[in-house]
Amino acid sequence: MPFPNTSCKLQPDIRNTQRERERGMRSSFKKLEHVWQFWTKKFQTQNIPDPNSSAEYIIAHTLGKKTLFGVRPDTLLSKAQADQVKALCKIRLTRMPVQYILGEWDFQDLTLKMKAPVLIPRPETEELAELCCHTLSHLSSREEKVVLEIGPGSGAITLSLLRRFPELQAVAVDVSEEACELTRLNAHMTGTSDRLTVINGDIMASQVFEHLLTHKPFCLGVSNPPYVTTAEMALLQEEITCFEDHRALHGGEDGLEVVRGVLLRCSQLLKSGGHLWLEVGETHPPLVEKFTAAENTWRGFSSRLKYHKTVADLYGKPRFCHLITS
Amino acid sequence: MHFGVKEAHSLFCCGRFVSHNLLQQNPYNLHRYCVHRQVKHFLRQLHKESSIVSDQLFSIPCCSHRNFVSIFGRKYHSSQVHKTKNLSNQLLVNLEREHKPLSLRTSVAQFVTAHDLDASSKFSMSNPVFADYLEGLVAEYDALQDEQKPSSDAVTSSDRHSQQSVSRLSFLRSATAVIEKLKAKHQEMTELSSLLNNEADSEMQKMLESELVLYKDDLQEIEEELIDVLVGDDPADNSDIMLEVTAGVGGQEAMLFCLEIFNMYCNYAVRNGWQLAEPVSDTSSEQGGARKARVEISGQGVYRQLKHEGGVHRVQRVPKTERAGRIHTSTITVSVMPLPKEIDLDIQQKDLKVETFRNSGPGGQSVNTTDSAVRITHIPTGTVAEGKEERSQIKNRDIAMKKLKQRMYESILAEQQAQIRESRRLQQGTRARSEKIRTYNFQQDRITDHRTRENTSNLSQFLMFGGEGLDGLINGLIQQERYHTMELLLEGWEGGNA
Repeated sequence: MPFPNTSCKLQPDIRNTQRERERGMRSSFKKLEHVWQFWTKKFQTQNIPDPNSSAEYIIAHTLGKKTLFGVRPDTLLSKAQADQVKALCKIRLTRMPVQYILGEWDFQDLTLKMKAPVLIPRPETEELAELCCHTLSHLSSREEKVVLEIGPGSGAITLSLLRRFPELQAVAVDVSEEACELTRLNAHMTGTSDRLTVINGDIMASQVFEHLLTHKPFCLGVSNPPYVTTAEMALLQEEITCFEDHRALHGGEDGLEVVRGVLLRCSQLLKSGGHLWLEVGETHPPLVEKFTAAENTWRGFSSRLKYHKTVADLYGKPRFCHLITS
Repeated sequence: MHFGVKEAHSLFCCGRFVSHNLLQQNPYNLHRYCVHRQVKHFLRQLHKESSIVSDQLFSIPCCSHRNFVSIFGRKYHSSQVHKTKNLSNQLLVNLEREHKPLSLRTSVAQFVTAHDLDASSKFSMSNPVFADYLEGLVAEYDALQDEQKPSSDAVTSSDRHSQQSVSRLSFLRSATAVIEKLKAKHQEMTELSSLLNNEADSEMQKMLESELVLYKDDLQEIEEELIDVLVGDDPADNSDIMLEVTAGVGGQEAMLFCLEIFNMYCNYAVRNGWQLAEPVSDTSSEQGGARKARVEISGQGVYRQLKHEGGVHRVQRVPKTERAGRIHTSTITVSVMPLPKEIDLDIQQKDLKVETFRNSGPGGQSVNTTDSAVRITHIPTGTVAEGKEERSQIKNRDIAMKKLKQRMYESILAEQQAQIRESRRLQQGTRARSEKIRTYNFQQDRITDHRTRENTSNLSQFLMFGGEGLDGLINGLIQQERYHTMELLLEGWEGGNA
């Protein structure tokens, strides 16, 4: 699946673009506030989500800034800049996420490259990285530390950990080739590629498992596996269904298909006393707890993982599971 | 005789108004003023009467006769004032007979009148209201202690109310101890005086009289101790202060004097071993002087010593700018404000409401939004802060949190500063000439405090670094405040009883 069907929605309205052209002819410079207002209104009428911030980020990007905070509203945009804004906003009208249009987005202190269809990190994932960071800082500093991330996507979690802990090593496994490439690219951009091993493949595949065994033992496992249920998949925004990799979103009928695999592999690969942090759907933490209960066995595995606690996200939803290997 | 640190220390111990470094640094010598045999005799008499005053006192470096009176007078004011009074009266007669300098005579005379027993005698057992008040305290102590007993058997409840009563109890305990001591002494004395009345033998009478004098001394000492306990300490005594001197009525002359007084306080602070920080003075005037000058002072007992300095100070002299030689009256305003303590911000997680643009819905992977603005509300105070500078939501949240803390800090600070402004307004009054607290009269070389009606001289030295003159005035004011507080306590008690 190199590129999900982009054609699923909307060609820009031709009459509208003509009107814009006429307006643009009057003067070669445009005031920023007018451009912003124009595109916000345009996105609103086309029912594009986040109309205001979408226009803001695109204009800021053209000006070489991240946001328009502190930029004077009467700043003048040159013809070339206004044209670039127009071109990018037109792409936004196809419902492509702003992050893909800009080709980059921020994750904590890092600015990472974003490429369709690799999953765009969500704000919750920033919290997950924060939790991992907290766990790592409490581990004894003597031994060598290796982190395993299953499904890094753009590499956000692993890279933010590598940046914060200069001695840390990491292994990232992703089933998607694009994700692996993007993780490598971002690792290169953040100067952490020498401490990161990226493996492309399914964690359930035996070769991948054998490869991982050579990197054992891991002190921390972290994963933001796909956890959207089949029923929920139908309700997602077009930005997500049309542009993001379904392998990073769809977690099967109950949303836990990949979670189970992650639990199995981490149970096998983490060293004793190791930690596992998972981001899951809001209904999932009790189910994860049930999986790891002693009497439960799944595909013949009895878990070494002990459920430690559930942590709520910024919005108060039970989102993160913390497990510790015995 | 060389005056060293050890002697200074022993003097410091016996006279609490004399600070250690005051004696260490003072270049003047009392000897100059002790040449009069009478003065020496006076001191020797004092020495004989009181075991506390040591030989070293004879070599105290002291810059004026006024000052030794202020040091010794204060010392004896509390316990042996009547004795001192007799002695100094005698001294006065001697001085007059021998036609000694008038200034020495007037200072002793002033001392005699200033230290009349009127102020303190109100707080003795002979005053029925005061005795009643003390009885009330003892009764309250007994009642509280009875109340405390059963609760100590039960589980100790540590609510605020009981904590308050515990601190009240400890206050009452120390007060009651002194009261009991005072009562016993008083009882003994009344017995003694009744004995004296019935005694016919003159030898015996004399003996009893001298005994009675000793008892009176002890009694007064205990009374002073009791006032100390009852009045207590001001918790703000040791807090840092902001001292501000502003030129008032009088134009250029007021500005000149403003700077002089400001420098005087700075030097006084340095001499007391206090720290000065951030001195600011507006010296824009061409002819010197300052419209306004301020400095932060920190150290042990800064506020205690300087709090009475706040108010309008009046100067009467021929200004440098005056050509016709007329005396001008100008004013300056001094304000002394305790500085706010370190602000302790205590933000509880449960008091915070964090809002983003995706509060509803399943969240996580199911939503992709670029609107990463975060708004945090501190519910109890209603303070709101927003972060929208960054594309990362977690960073926006950190920014919002930082802003929130800053805003709350600012509002607390503003509140404290409003209080300070209010106290400054009260101290400054209307800056009119009439509301003065102190007058510096250059023609008569006299400094008068209008609250204690005390005078001191040697203006040039006073303006240089305050010196013992300022110490004396300040101690008088502290003493006056003590009595005043005691009076208020008594009035409050009377009012409550009536």
